Amino acid sequence: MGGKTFERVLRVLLLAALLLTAYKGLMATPEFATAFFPERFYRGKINDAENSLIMKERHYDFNEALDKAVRIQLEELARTGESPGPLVTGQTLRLAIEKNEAKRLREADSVLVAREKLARMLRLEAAGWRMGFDCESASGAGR
Amino acid sequence: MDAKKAASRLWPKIVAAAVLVPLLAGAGFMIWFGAWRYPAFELAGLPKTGYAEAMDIAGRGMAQSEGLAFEGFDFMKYRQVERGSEAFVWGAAKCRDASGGQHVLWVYLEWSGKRGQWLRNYSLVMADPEDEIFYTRDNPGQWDRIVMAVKRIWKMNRLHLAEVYGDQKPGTF
Repeated sequence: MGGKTFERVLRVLLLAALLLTAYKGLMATPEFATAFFPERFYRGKINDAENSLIMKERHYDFNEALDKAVRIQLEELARTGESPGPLVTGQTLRLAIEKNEAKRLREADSVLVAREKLARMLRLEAAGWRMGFDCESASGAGR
Repeated sequence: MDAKKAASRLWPKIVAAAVLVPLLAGAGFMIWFGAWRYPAFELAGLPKTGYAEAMDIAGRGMAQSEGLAFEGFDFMKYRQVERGSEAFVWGAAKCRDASGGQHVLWVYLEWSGKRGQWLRNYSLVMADPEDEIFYTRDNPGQWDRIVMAVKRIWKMNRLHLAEVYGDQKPGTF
């Protein structure tokens, strides 16, 4: 008797788990999310895009500040002629400035890309874009 | 006879516990300190808009633990998202060591919606003599890199502990 009840409970739990999995899986697709919960979909997407734009901007600023710190070290080395550690030489300082320059270019680009992604999500939201369940409507995304 | 046997089997366990318990307690303390205590230290009660004051507290505290005189921020940026509760503030501060050498201190705080306060996220003295920016392809070697990384983490934890539990309070340098 007890065994049968237990089995029934397991069955119900299993069915609930399957339904939940199917629901969560469907909600992870832009087709269902834009059709049934567009507000939540856009809130999540725009929040992501805003956060990554801020992150890229911060990375750019970090590099700028690091470059400033390296240049200060270069000045100090020229002024005192004393290196603060074995790794800090005129050569590694100049190399560091070159690395920072390469990073600055990449990170400026990342800021632009992040800004464009945010603008795109805001544009899609304003246009009330829904993914739709056919391939043709999907191909129009972002236009 | 049996009691004696049991006792002889118990000793290794006591010794192991005597070694492991303090080790685990120490590790647990450092996890709690690094993840919960230090990030929030002296920043409680400030609103989101109090970011400038939070930056000042964090910057001065860190400069003091590093033995540097804090001279103020070169720049500070506050950013918040429109959709959601996240907010961020970062900046670079000018500092001087005892012999007058200039240093740049990076300070970065994040607003925690869950705790309702600013938290330290990532702060460091930039381009210090062992900074990765001075690494080249083969100098330092792999082993030295490991040693330097472990030393950095050790020093960072030591300074954070000094900042929270040390005698001198921030801003008294």
